[in-house]
Amino acid sequence: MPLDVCNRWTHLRKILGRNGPFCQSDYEAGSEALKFVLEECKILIVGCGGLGCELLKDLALMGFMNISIIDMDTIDLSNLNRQFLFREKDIGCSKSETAAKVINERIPGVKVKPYFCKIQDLDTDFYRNFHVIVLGLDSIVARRWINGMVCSLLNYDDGILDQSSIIPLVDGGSEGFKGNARVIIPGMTACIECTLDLFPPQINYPLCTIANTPRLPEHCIEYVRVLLWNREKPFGDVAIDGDDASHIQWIYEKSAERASQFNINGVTYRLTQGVVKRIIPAVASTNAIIAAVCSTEVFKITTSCCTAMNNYMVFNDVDSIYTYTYEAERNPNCLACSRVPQELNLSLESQLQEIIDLLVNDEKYAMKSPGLTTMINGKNRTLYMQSVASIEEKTRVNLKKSLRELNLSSGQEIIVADVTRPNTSIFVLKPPSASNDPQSVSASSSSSS
Amino acid sequence: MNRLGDLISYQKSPKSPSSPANNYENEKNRKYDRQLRIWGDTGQYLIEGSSVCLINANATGTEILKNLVLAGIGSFTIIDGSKVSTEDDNNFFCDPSTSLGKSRASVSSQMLLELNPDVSGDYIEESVETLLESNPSLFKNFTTVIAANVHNEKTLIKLSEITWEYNIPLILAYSIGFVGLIRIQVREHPVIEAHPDNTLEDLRLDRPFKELKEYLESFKDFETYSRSEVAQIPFVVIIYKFLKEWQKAGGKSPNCIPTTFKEKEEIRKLIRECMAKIRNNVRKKIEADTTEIVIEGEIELDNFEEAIRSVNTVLLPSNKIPSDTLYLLNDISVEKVMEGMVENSNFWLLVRALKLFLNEKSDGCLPVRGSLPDMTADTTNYVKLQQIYQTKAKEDAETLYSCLTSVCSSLGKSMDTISEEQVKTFCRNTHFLKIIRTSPIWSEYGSNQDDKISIKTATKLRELVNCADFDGDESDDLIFYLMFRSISRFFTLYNRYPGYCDDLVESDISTLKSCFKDIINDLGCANLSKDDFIHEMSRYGGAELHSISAFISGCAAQEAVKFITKQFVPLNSILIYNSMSSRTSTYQW
Ligand SMILES: [Zn+2]
Repeated sequence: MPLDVCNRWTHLRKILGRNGPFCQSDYEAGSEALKFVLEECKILIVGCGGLGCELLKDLALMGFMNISIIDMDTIDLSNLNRQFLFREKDIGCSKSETAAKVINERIPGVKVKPYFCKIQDLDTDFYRNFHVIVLGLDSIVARRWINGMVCSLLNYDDGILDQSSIIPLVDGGSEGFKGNARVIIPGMTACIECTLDLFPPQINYPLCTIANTPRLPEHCIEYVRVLLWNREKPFGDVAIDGDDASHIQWIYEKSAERASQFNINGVTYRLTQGVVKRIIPAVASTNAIIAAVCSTEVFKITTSCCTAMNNYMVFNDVDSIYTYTYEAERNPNCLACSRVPQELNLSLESQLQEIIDLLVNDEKYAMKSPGLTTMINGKNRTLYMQSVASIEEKTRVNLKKSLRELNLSSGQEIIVADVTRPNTSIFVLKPPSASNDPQSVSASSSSSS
Repeated sequence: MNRLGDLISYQKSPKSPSSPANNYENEKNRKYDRQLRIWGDTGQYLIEGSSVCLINANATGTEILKNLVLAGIGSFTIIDGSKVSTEDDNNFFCDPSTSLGKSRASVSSQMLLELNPDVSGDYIEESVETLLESNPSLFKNFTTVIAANVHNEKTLIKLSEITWEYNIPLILAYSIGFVGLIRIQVREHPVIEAHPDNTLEDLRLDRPFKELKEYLESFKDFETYSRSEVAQIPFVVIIYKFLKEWQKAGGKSPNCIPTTFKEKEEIRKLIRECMAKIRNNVRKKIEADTTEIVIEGEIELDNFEEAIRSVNTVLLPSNKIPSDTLYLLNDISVEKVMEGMVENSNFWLLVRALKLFLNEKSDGCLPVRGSLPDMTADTTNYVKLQQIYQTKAKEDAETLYSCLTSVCSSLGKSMDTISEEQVKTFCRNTHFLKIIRTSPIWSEYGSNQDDKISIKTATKLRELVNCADFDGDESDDLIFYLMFRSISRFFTLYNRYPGYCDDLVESDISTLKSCFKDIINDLGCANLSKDDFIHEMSRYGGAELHSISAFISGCAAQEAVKFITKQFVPLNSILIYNSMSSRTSTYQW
C-alpha cells in the first residue's frame, strides 16, 4: 500500500507547525521549518559506531532526509551488542556503507550518503557543505581535527564574525553507564580545544613500574605489550594486532607467566584484551541516550524551535539517573577558536626540542607529534618533522640546537602542524623579557658587542 | 514459569562464569564483550534468563525493547492490540510504508527479533485493558513489565496492583513533545553489587587486625633504609607510623584517628618532617661519600606524597557502618526472615548473618573488603600487603558463611540456595548495600483513600507540589508530572490526546485545564494555575519526537537491566526529562 505523503510526519507537523509559549522568541510556527528539515538541511555524522548508528536512525526518523556519514572502520562481531544496524552477515563490511543501506531501505525518502574513509581524506569544501556536524566518535584526536576544521571555516569581516560561516558541532561521548553531550557554536561558545581538560586523562603506567616494580595485573600485561613483544618477536616483525586471537593469547600467556613470578593475581584473557586494545566498555542504552540528546539538539538548532543546550551535559546512571548541564567556558586564547596569536615564551638559548616538549606536554595544546617549519629570508625551512621518516632523519639534528643557532629570533613565526589539527597554526617566538631571564641578558649583551 | 525473583536463586551457570582463556573466545563472549566488562558473566547470565513484557509497541516501546534485545534478554512479549498506522513513521521497528494496517505487535516483534538471534519473542494482539480483564495472572510470568505511553488511569491502577502484588518491577515510560517521564514501581529490590563510582578505601588503619598490625609494625625507623628502599615503602605503612606517633604525642587511645582539619594537619606535618630528614640524610651521604656515583636531583618520595594526600581519605573510623547498611540491619525483614515469610529471603538471610557477624564475630567492623588501591611500592611490599587484606577478607567471608549456616539451621532451612561465591560477593559489598522500595503507582490515585499507603503517598506528593517553585527560568520540572497526570485524566475521559486534531487545540486547552484542576484537587494541593504549560502540552497533541522517545527508552532499558542483573542502583522513583532546558530531575514519593 503506498504511503500517502500528506499523512507523513504528523508528529513533526504538530511540534513544528503549532506555536507554543516556550518556543524560541523568533520562531514562527508553520510549514517552513519542516520543509527545511525535509528538503534543505544537510547533516554530517562523523563516526558510525554505537553513537553513529543511533544518530543516523534518530535523525532520519526526525525528518532529516539528507545525511552524510563518515567512518573508516569495518564491522566486528563485538559491535553487535549495540550497533543495531549491523548483523552477523555484515561482519567485515564497511560500517558507513552498511548503515546507509539499511536506513535508505527502511525509511522512505531518506538519502544517506556513506563515506568509507578517514576524516582527513575529505577537504574544506566537503565540510563546508553541512548545516550541522554531529560527532559520534571515541577518538579525541578525530574530535579535535573536526573541531579545528569547523573553526578554520569561520570568516571574520573587520573582526566581526560572519554568522553564515558558522557550522555548529554537536558532540557525544559514552563509556559504560556514563556519557556526555555538548553543543559547540564555533567562535561563540567553548570548543573542543577550549576544554581539553574535560577529557579523562589517559592511563599510562610509568615504564619503571612496568619494568621493575609491577603490582597490578595491568603492569604485567603492559610489560609484555611494550617490552617483550619487540624483544621476542613471536610472530616475526609485525605489530600487535588486537583482533588477532593468537597475538592476544601469546600476550596473555606471557603476562600470566610474569604475574606468577611476582605473585600477582588477576591476569585474565579478558583483561589482557582490554588493556592491549584499550577497550572502552559499552552498552546499547547509554549510546541511545547520548545520541538522543545530540539529535534533539540538532533538531533545535536547525529548526530554531527551542533554545539549544548551553552547552555541556554529563550523564551517569550507575546510581539512579543523573544529569548535569552547565556552560563550559571559552578559553580566550584558544588555539582553535580564538584569533589571538599564540606566543612561544622560550629563550633563544632553548633547544628546539623544548618547543616540541611544550606543544606536547602543555595541556592547552596537547599535541601528538608536532612538525615545525618557518620562513627564513623568504624561504620555507623545515625545522623538524616526525611524520615523514626521511625528513625526520635529516632534521633530527636540529632538536639539540638552540633557537639562536637555528637563526630564529624574537618575533619569528613558527608554523606548527599536528594530527590534532587540519591546518597549521602559527606561533610567534617571544623570548621572555631581558630582566626576567639571565640567559637572555647575556644573549643581548653578546649581540650588542 | 519460574521467576528469577529471589536475589540469588540460580545455582551454577551452564557456561561457567569463570571462563578459562581457551573457551573465552567463543562467539557469545565476543559479541557481548563490551557489556560483559560492565555487569560480568553473572549479570549476563541473568539477562539471558530474563523475560520482559512490553505494553505498546510505539516508538518509545520498541526502542526500549531494542536496547534489551541487543543486550541479549532471554525473551520478550509484546502486548499491543493496535494496527500499524501512518503515525508509526517515527517508529524504526514498524514501517507504515510496508506494513500499514497489520498488527503492530506482530510487525514490531518480528523486526526486533532480527536484531539478535539469541533472543526469542512473542506477541499478544490484544489491548492491555482486555488482558487485564481476561488473564491478569499472565503478568506474573515476567522478570520486568514495561509500559510505553499507557495513559488510561484504570489500566494503570490495575497494572500497578498486579505487579505490586507479585513484586515484579514495573516501568512506565512516556514521551510527549519535548518532555519525557519514567515512573518505576517495585515493592522491594535489594542491590548487593551497586558498583559505586567513588568509594573510600577500607584499610583498617585505626583498627588493624593482627596480621596487618604485625606487618605495619615490622618496618624499622624510615631513616635507616637506603635511598631506594625508603622510596618504596607503601604509603599505608607511612600513614600508620605517623598515626601512632601522633597518638603517642597526644596521649590518645590506639583507635583514635584525627577528625578535625587541625589534627589531620598535625599528621601531615609529621610526614613532611620525616621527608625533609630523609632528604637531608641523602644529601649528606652524597657529600660524604665521593666514591658513590652521584645521582642528580632530590630523591623522589612519591610514596610520602601519596601518604600526605591520603590522610583525609584513609584515616576513617572502620567501625562506622554506612547509613544504608545500618538501615538494612535494623529493617523489620531481618526479624521476619526467621518466620520464613519475606520477599528476597536469601538477601535477608545474608543481612541477618551479617548482623550476627557484627554482634559476635567482629569488633563492630563490617567484613574486610580485601581490595587495595595501587600505590608507589615495590612488588614484594605491595603483594604482601595485598595478600594480608585478601586473606583477611577470605577469613571474614568464611566467618560470615558460618554465621549464615547457623541462621539457616535455626530456621531449619537448607543452605543450598546460597553459594560460597555469593557470600564472598556479599562480603565485598557490605559497605554499599542498597534497598529500593518505591511507593505503588496506584497509591498516587488515591483509589482507596482509607489505606495507609495512599495517605502517605498523597501527603508526600502534596508537600512536594506545595513547596515547589513553578515560576521563572528555574521553574521546578515537577510541573510536568502534574501535566502528565492531567493528560492521563484527559485520555481516560476522551480516549485521545489533547490537541490531537488541529481544529480542536483551542477547546482541548480549556478541557485540559479543568483536568489539571481536578488533579490538583484530588491531590489536595493548594490552588495552582499553569496555563502556559497546559497550552504547551496541548499543542504537542500527543506527538512523539523520536529523539525524546529514544532518550526515555535508553533510560528505561537501563533501569530494566538494573532490575534484571540485580546490579547498580535503580531510579527511585520518577524521572522527568525536559529537553527544552536539556535537563532531567528526579523525585520520590
Ligand atoms: Zn576554542
